[in-house]
Parts: sequence; structure tokens; C-alpha cells
Amino acid sequence: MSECRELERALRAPDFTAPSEAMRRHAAGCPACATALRAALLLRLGSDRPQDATTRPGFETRLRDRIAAAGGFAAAPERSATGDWSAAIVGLLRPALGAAAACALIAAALFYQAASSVTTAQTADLTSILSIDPALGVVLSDDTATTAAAAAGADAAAPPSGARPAETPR
Amino acid sequence: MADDETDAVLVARAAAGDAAAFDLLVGRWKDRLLRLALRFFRRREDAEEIVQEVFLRLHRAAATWRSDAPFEHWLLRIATNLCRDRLRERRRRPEVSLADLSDDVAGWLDAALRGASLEAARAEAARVLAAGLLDSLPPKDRMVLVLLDLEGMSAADVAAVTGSTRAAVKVRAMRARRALRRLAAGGGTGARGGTAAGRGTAAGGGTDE
Ligand SMILES: [Zn+2]
Repeated sequence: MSECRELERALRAPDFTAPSEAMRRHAAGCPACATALRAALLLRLGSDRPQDATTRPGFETRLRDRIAAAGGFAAAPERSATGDWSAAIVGLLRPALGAAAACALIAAALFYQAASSVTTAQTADLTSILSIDPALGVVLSDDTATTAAAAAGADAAAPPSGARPAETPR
Repeated sequence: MADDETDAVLVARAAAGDAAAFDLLVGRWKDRLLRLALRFFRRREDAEEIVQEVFLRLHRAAATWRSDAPFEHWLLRIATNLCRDRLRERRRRPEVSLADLSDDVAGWLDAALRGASLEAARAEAARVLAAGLLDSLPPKDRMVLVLLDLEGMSAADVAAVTGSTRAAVKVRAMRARRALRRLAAGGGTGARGGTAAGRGTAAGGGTDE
């Protein structure tokens, strides 16, 4: 029985090619192992191939031609499952972004229209604020030196000792 | 590019459109794939066509490979799927008519199955007949036997390559061995192999010694 198991194991070894004398002797007196031996030899005989088989010359050229015919390497490779998802999300987002941009433009146009209709009415208010708040006046006039002076509550003509004129970017 | 880059690096580059990385993968794996395909297809051009197809699919789908699984398994899975599909087609349209083979050939096969050594031409004829008999096995069964017994893969690796489980591979292997023994003993598989196998045994006297 252990001989049967041993023979069975030997038959399944990838390097098994032909039965040893001991295997033949055992198989001669054990019908089950004789059949297993025939089966193993049938599998090997029918699946035999040269150990050093290699592709024929021109294999790579043929492959390259077929890949080129299929679009070559410049063509985008087939997307993975996640790739498909991200492509789908981008596809969905693109029209949404377009719609959002259009809404923003419409809102800006409406705001501009509304703002220009009140500008005249509010001009007087703005002038009165500027007349009582010198700091806001210089902020709107974009003059750094006078802004600092106004904020410090000093005379606009005489900047404070610590204040320097705005530097020119080199 | 260095030839010692890992498969994972080369596949990532090939997926990004790097032809040189793809060529390195082809050089690295073509002969391994060819030798596997030759287990099922004796004609060199048929086996090479399988290998070409494997690489065409690699080119198309390199980006879908996940590095948490060995690249070899992924590649062999493509190859075994292709071999299985071609074996199914060939089962429907056999290339060799076993009924046309002479009784001599059946005798040579029987001698080979008794472990006798044959002169080259007879051995080749016996191989053709043996391959024809194996064609009558269900392709998946044959695949599992070849991967386990001839390629020396573990049941776990065969499961990974064939997209199955270890337990399912073992069950299939057991069933395939039974069918192979019936075939070798001359009983056929219930498919078309029965007659020729029977002839093989009868011509050789039906003894197993
Ligand atoms: Zn035994």
C-alpha cells in the first residue's frame, strides 16, 4: 500500500519521464498502479514538447506589427475598472462645471445691472462718508503713505517718523 | 532601460505607453508561454499564435493588472484561458482523425505506455495519437493535470491561474485523473477518444506489465 502511494507520488513529479525498474515490477503485480502508470505516460507523451523550445525568428516583428495595427503604444490603453469610474465622473462633472460657469456669468451680469441702477443714488452717501472719514478716503485713493498717516490721525502732509514710502519691487 | 527591472515596474511603464518596457516583458516571458502552449498544441505556429494573442491582450489590458497579485499568475491566466478556448474549438473540429491511424500506431502507443523505448518515427506517431486522445478530455481537466503534474505547480497556484479555488482544483484533478486512467486503459472518456484508446489497448494485447 505504501508502495502504491510512493509510485503515485513519483508519477506526479514534474521530472518523471519513464518508469524505473522498481516501478515496473510493482505495476506488474498491481493493476491499479499499472493503470496509473499508463495514464501518467499518456499525459506526458501527449503533452511532450522540446525543453528548450523558443519562438521562431520574426516573432517580435510580427507582434509589433499587430500592436501597431491595433493602434500602437500611442493609443490609450484599456482602462481599468477604476479608470472607467474616474472617466465617468469627469464626464458627469464636465457639463455640471459648464452650467456652473454660465450661472456665475448670469449672476455677475444681474449684479452689475442692479449695481449701476443704484450707483447714482448712492454716490451722495459715499461722498458724505469720505468727507467725515479721511482714512477711507486715502484707501480709495491708493496712497500708502497718506493711508498710514490718516490711520494714525496725523496731518496727511507730514508722515510719521516710522513710516517709509512704499518700496518699488526690484 | 535595465533588464533587471521587476515585472511590476515594466507593466506599469508598458501601461503608460512605454514600448521598450513592453519589449522587455515579451523577451522575458515568451518562451515560458510558448512551452506551456506547446503542451496543448503540437504545431509550433498554433502555439506561437497563442503567445502572440497573450501579448496583444497584455498590451490592451496592462493597466488593469493589480500588483497585489503576481504578474506571472495574471499572464498565465490569460494564456490558460486562451488555450482552453482553443482546445474547446478543436474538440468540436478535431485536426487528427484517430480512426484513420493504423493499428501499428496504436501498438506503438501501447508500447510507449508500457514504458518501452521506440525509434524516433514511431515515438512521434505515438505522441500524435496520445495528443489526440488527450484532446477528448474536458479542456479544464486537462489544463489542471498539465499544470499540476507537468508544470509542477501547487494546487494554490493552479487555483490562482485558473481563477478557481484550491479545493475546486483538487476535486477537478481527481476527476481528471479518473478520466485519464479510463483513457489509458482503453475505456475512453465518454467522448470520442474511446474507440482509438480501445484500439490502442487491443493492438498491444491489453496488458499493463
Ligand atoms: Zn500499487
